[in-house]
Amino acid sequence: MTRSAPVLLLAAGCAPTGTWEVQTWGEDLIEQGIPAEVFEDGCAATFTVFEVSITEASLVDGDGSDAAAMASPARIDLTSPGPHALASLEAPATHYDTARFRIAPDGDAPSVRAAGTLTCGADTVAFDWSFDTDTTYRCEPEDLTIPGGGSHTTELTVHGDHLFYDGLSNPDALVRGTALLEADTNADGEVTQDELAAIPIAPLGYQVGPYADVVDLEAFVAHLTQSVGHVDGEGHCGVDL
Amino acid sequence: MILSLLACIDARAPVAMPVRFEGGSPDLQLEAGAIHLDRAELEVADLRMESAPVARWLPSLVGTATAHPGHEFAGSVRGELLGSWTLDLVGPPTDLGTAEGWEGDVATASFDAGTLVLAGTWTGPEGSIPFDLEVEVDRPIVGVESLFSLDADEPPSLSLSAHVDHALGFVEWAETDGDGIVTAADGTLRNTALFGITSSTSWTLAQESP
Repeated sequence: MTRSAPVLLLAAGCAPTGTWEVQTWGEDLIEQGIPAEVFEDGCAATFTVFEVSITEASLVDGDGSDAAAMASPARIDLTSPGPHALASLEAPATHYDTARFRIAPDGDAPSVRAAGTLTCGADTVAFDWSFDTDTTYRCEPEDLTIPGGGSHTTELTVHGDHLFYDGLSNPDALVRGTALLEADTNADGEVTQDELAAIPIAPLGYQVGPYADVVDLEAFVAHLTQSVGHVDGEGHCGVDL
Repeated sequence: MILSLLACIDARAPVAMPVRFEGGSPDLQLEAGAIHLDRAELEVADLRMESAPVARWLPSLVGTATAHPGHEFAGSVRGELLGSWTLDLVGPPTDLGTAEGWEGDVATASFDAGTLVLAGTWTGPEGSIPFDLEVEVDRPIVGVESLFSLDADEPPSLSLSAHVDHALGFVEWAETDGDGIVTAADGTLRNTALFGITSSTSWTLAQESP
């Protein structure tokens, strides 16, 4: 007993650690824009601003506790070339199942702000939309192992094309722009969120699935902001809605 | 631990419960006008009851989803009634059969939907006009509120209800091609009717009062 206690303390003090590197990236679809071939209706979009407020980035151990967590929120404009480093955190060297990210308002800053232009045929409109959605993404990367003395990088990948989906829960949802462009009802060249809120979803043929409270286009796009987060490219993350 | 878990599974008793469908009135008074339905039918199949999805970090009011369309995580299936039926949405109550399930709480229900047929007359501020629509829904109706428990000792009788007034409240009855009848060729009848009939709040699955 008297001999084993120091050994345990020594073992605890020497538990190997590594570094969890956390980054975010908007990929070409945000940095370069969304080309017409991505849109079902031939529209195209470019972003001048795509800011996200990342208020949490945590490495979660098997007990559901945070093994490492980003110290302070980060606000990133994903239109600038990435990937963007968020944090470099020491964590026990082991395998993890889950990384957790939260995109949420930070002070006066919205959770997501997207500004740019949308072009369909000969018509172009500008947009500058801000959303206060609060979304926690529970992501399970394929292999999240922090090596002793080494590092592992996890990326919160943001998919800008999701703002243009025509469905909230159907797997055959397509990227469309026409309804959003036509929401410029005062024809001033800018689609505002008030104009989106005045457009009912029902006539558009868009699908809301179980989200029956989403009945206008502004609420629809706001809901879609809760689907932009992915992990390491195309990895899907769970969210609670 | 494993034995304990198996014991819990074994202890979950099967439940068999009758399910019937209840439609609504053929005469509906909506905010914008009135509807008389001569015919309102929807083909449906495979009713499933689901428990609430498990959320690990946050409480969930609607459910857990994956951040991509089409990857919702409904709760595990708690019961089901397999088969296909043509529901008369304005007819008398109809027995659909006996569902089978397992004890526990139910949160939502879902079923597949096929052809929707609507025929009748819309009366609005500008007068009356007939409508006639037949459209393939071909999408599941999901997230239907179903808040009850399945108890093997007191198996419930279940009632699937269609709130036709709510569903048709989304519909735009604009006649645009000048033929004197609102059909799928007019305006937005098709899209708005589809939206209304597939809205999760146009349906409920409930335990019937004893």
